Amino acid sequence: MHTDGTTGSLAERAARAFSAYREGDAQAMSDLVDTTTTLLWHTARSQGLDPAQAEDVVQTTWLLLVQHAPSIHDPQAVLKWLITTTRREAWATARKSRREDVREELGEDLDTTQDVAGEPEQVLVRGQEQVVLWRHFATLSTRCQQLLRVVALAERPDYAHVAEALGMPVGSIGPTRGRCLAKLRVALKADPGWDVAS
Amino acid sequence: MGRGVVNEDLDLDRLAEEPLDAEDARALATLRSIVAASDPVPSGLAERSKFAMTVAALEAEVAQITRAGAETAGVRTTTYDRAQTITFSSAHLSAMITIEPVDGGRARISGWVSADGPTAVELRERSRTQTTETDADGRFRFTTVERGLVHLVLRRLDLPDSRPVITPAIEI
Repeated sequence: MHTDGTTGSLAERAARAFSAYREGDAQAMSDLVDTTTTLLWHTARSQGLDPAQAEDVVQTTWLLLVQHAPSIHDPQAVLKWLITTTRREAWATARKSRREDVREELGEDLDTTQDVAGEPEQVLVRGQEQVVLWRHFATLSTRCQQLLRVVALAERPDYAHVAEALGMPVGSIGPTRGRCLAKLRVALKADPGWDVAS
Repeated sequence: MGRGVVNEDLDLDRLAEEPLDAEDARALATLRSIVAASDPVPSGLAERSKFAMTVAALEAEVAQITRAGAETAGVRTTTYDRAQTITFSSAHLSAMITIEPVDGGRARISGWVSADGPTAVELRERSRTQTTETDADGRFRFTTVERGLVHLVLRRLDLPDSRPVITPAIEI
């Protein structure tokens, strides 16, 4: 995600690659997949999918892009289209697997251990900065955690694009902090450990 | 009592509408490093996605690897002890290829397609595509193949309406 040498935001690079693909450059699609799969993976995972489900959703999203390429008129919108599609597919998958879980549970004794799908098996935090950040992040609403997990993976110029694709409002002038990041900021400001860690 | 809550809410609204600054960038960068380390993207997901897209774009039939000799396809090895032979088959044809190392870390692929008519053979490397056709005996050859993942796409020239056949990725 942080490769230098490629200019512009991810949204711009995605738009260029998609335009080239539509003009017959098959290699351009390969570049688009390389630059964007990380963001789509985390979008799927943040919606509560396990790794196998998230993989399927990411692949499905790319297949849908091949199918729908002719109907995407504005290449500038392709990143947003990919994130929105991943989110929608992930949501459908999560809903389906919840239904299956309920059916399984009805047949057996109710399992009280709550398995939070989509969470890494083990969150690796190293150093005080990460420990403090994760502690406050974990107190945010699920909605805010989903958003920030994905926004954090994007480059700053893509913040507005990504937030919009995830259904969060964006200021008219440009990327603003938004309420989720504002909440995190207030919590971090009040924690002496955050300043010390810098 | 309630006033404090209202003020807090107003403060939050004001903060939310401010542009991002260095402190936000620091928080997001810290979060990114945690997420990236805790939940890495599975290796090969991008490659698998590209393969699925190629299959869809070509409306191709995916050949199965029926036999892989010497080494298993898809496993990277640093040295070649001997030539590697892989056999593929689909509903309409089967093919066998032999990969031999040549100088400079590259390889030569020679193969044979069992089809009744001539077959166009496309070798899709990471950054280029080479094409050839089978000879009267069904043989074909690519003399210089770069290391990396490749696919073969086979098209029956005598049956232009038949679906192309694509092989799974082969590690050269």
